[in-house]
Amino acid sequence: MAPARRWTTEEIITACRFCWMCRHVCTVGNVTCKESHTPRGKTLLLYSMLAEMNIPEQEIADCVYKCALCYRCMENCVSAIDVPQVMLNTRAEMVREGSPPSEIQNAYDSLMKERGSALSLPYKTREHGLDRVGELPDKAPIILFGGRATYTYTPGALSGASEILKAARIDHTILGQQGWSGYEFYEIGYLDDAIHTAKETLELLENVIDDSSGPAYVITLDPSDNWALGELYRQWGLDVPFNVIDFSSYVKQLVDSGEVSFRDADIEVCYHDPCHLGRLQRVFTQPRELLSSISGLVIKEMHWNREQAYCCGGHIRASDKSIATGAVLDLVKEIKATQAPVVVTACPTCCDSLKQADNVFDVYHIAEFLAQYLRSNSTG
Amino acid sequence: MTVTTPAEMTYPLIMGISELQNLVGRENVSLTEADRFAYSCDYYWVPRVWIDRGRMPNLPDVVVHVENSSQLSRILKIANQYRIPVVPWGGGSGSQGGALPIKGGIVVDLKKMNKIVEINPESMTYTAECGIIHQVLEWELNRCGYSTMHLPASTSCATLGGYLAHRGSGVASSKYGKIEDLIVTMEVVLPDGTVINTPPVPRHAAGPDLNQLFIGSEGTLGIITKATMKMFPLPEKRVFRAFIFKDLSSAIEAGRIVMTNGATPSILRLYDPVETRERLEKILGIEKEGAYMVYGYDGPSQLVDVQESIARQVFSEFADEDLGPELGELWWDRRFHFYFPPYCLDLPKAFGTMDTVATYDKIIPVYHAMKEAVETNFPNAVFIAHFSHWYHWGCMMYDRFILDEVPDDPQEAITLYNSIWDVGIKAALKAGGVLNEHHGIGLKLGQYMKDQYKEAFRVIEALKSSLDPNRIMNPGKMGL
Repeated sequence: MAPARRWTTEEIITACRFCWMCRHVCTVGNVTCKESHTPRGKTLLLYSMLAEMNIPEQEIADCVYKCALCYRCMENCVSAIDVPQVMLNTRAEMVREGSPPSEIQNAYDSLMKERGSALSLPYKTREHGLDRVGELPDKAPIILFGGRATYTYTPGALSGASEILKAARIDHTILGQQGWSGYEFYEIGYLDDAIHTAKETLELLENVIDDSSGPAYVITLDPSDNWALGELYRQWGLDVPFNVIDFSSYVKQLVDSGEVSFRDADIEVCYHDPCHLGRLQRVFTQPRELLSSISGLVIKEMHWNREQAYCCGGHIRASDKSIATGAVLDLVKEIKATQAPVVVTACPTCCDSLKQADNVFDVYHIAEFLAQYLRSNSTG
Repeated sequence: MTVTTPAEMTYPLIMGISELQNLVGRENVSLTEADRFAYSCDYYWVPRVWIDRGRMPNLPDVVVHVENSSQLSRILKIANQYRIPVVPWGGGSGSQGGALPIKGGIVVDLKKMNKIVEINPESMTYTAECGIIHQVLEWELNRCGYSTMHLPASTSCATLGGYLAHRGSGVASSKYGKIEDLIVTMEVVLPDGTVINTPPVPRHAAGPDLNQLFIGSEGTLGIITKATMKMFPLPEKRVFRAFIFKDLSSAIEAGRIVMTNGATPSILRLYDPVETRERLEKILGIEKEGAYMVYGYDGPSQLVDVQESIARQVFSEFADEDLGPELGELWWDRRFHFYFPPYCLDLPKAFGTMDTVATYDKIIPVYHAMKEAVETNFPNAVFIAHFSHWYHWGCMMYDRFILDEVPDDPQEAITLYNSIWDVGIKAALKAGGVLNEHHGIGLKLGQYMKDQYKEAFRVIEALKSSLDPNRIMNPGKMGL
C-alpha cells in the first residue's frame, strides 16, 4: 500500500465513482456481485446525491452500509484511497439526518439495551469464566481492556491475557465493568453515541490507571478497540492520557525481553489476520512471531494472508447477515486449504464469525491460545 | 429524461419481471433505482460526463443476477416472449459503451457465474464460467503454477466473458496472442435460449470457426457463458529492458525486426514522445526527450537469454539510449498505475481511445494522419499514442486524444467529443488503419462499422437477423 495522502470525501467520491481498479478485492462485491455494492458503485451513488439526481436516499443508505470495512480496496489502491472512511463519514451523516436503514436502527436499539446491562454488572458476576482472572489490584499502570466484542465473544482472551501478564509479573488490572470503546456505535454511524461511550470509558480507565511511576499502558484485545482508543479518540478531540497498544505487540516485547515464555508444542496453526489489526494498523508480524516463539508450532499460512487476508465479514453483520456469512465462508475455504486443525486470530469478532461458520477447526483468540502454553515455572 | 420506475412499467415488462423473479428468486432481481443506476455507466466517457453534469442516464428496467447457463437460457426465452432488450454485463469496464442499457430492459449480470470448472495440465487448458473476474482467475491459476498470460490493465474488473465478447488483449499479447488466440472452445447461449457448444478444439477444417463468430460480437449474437482457454506455465524467468528513440520510425523498425526474426517478445511497448513526456514522467519518473520503448521476455531461462540477447542487439542498433533493465522492470511493476487515480485519465478532461491497427508499412502514416487531423482541427486537443500489441505483419496503436476542458453543457461536450472522434477515425480509415483493436465497438463506434466493413457488413447483419430476429440482444451496439 502506498503512503496515504489525505483525500477529502469529495475528492474520493470524484476519484472513485468511475474507477474499477479495486473491485476484485471488495469483500461485499465478491459476495453479492452487485455493482452498487462495490467502491465504484457506492461512490457513484454518493456522487448522485451531491449532484441532486434524486435517487431515493434510503436505497443509497442501504448500499453505504453494505461495506465490510475490510480495507482491501485501500490496500490494493495505488493511491491508498480510504473508501471505508467515506462510508463511515456518510453513515454518520445519515444517522444525523435520521435516515439510516431500519436494520441499522434496530442494531442500534439492541446495542443500547446491551450497553445498559453491561454497565450495570461488574465483570466478576458475569458468567464468562472471568473468575479465572483472580484478584487484581484496584489500580495499576497496565490496564487490560476488554471491550464489548471481547466480553461477548472471547472472554477467555481477557483471562488468558491476564494469566500471561501475571506470569511476566506485570502489575496490571482490568476494568470493574465492561468498557466499550465506542467503535461499535461508530461503525454503524452513531458518532454522538460513540463519543459519549468513549468519554464514559475514559472515566472508567482513569479510575483504575496508576501512572504515578511512569506512563500507563492500555492493552487491547480487540483491534477495533485499539483503533478507537489509539486513533479515533484523538480525532474526536478527546484527551487520552495513556499509551494504547494491541495485545500481540505488547506481549511480543515481553517475549523478546525474556519476561515470559511458552512451552513447546507439536501443533499446526493457521493465523488469520484481522482486517483492523493488519491492513488498518499494520500489525502483521507480531502475532506470527509470538506463535513462533512456541517451539514445535508450525504456522500454516493461508494463500491470502497479511495485507491480502480475507475478511471474516464481522463488521457487516449488523447490516446484512447473509453477506457476512458469504464472506466468512470464503475465508473458511482458505483456512481449510491449510489443513491446520487450529485457527488463531487476534480479534474477538473474527473468532466469533469463524466459530459460527464452521466446526472443523478450533478457533482461539491469540491471548487465549498462548495462555494454554505458558511455561508452568513462569505462571505466577 | 424519464426514468422508468416500477410504477411506470408496461404490463408486458411487469409480466416478464415477475417471471424472472420466479425463475431466479427475488434476491437475484434488482429493481431499486440505486442498483439500476450502478449499471447505467460503464468505462465510456459519455455516460461519465452525463452523470458528472447531474443528468440521469438511461437505466435498465431490471438487473438480474444469473447463476448458470440454464437460467440464462430461460431468461432469454422470457425476454423474447415479451420483447424486452437484454444487455449482458460482466465487469462494465468496456470503454465504448458496449454494456450500456440504452434502451432499458434487462441487464444480465454474469458475475455469479464465476466457477473454475477445470484446470487441465495435460492439455494446458482451463475451463471457467465467463462471469469470473479475470484477476481472480489469474490468481487461482497462479496458485497451481499456471497463468492465463492474458494480462490487461482491466484485469481487476473485467470478466473472462467480457474479454471474449470484446476481443480483448493483454500486455503480453505479442507472444501469447489476444483472447481470440487463446480460446479453445466455448459455450454460448443463443438469443432464443438455445445453449450451444463450439467444437472442442479450435483448429479444424470443418467449416467456419464458430468461436471467432461469437468473439467480439459484444452480446449481440448471444451470451458466452463458459470457455476453455489455453494456459501457460508461470515463467521461469522474466526480463525487461527500456530504450529511448528520438525517431518513432526507428522504434517501429526495431519492433518489426524482433517480431519477425524469431525473437518475439511477450511485451513490446512504444510510447510516442508526447506520452513519454506527459505520462511516463509522472509514473516512472523518466525525464527524457524522445520515445520510450520497453521489451519483455519470459519463459524458460535459456530461451529468454537467447531471445533477449538478439533483441538487445537489434535495439542497440536503432535506439538512441539504452536505459537498461531497471527502467523496464519499473514499467512492469507500475504498469497498472496508469489506470488508478490520480494518474488515470478522468474528468474534467475529455479523452478517447481510438485504438487503431495497421500493417507496418502503414502504421506511421496512420499515426501522423490521425495526429494531424485531431490537432489541426482541435487545437486544444493533444494526441498521444503508444504501440502495444505487435504482430508479424503490423502493430496496434493505442492512440488517444485528450482535452483538458470541455463545455459545461453535456450536450455541447458530447458533440465536441464526437467531432474529435469522427475526425480521428476518418483520418485513420483513409490512411489504411482498421478500427478497433481491443476495446470493442460498443455504442461509440457502431456508426463506423459499415464504413469499415463495406459490403461485408451484410454478413454480420444477416447473422443478427437470423440468430436474433426480435433484436433483443444488446440493441444499439456494433452498428446493429
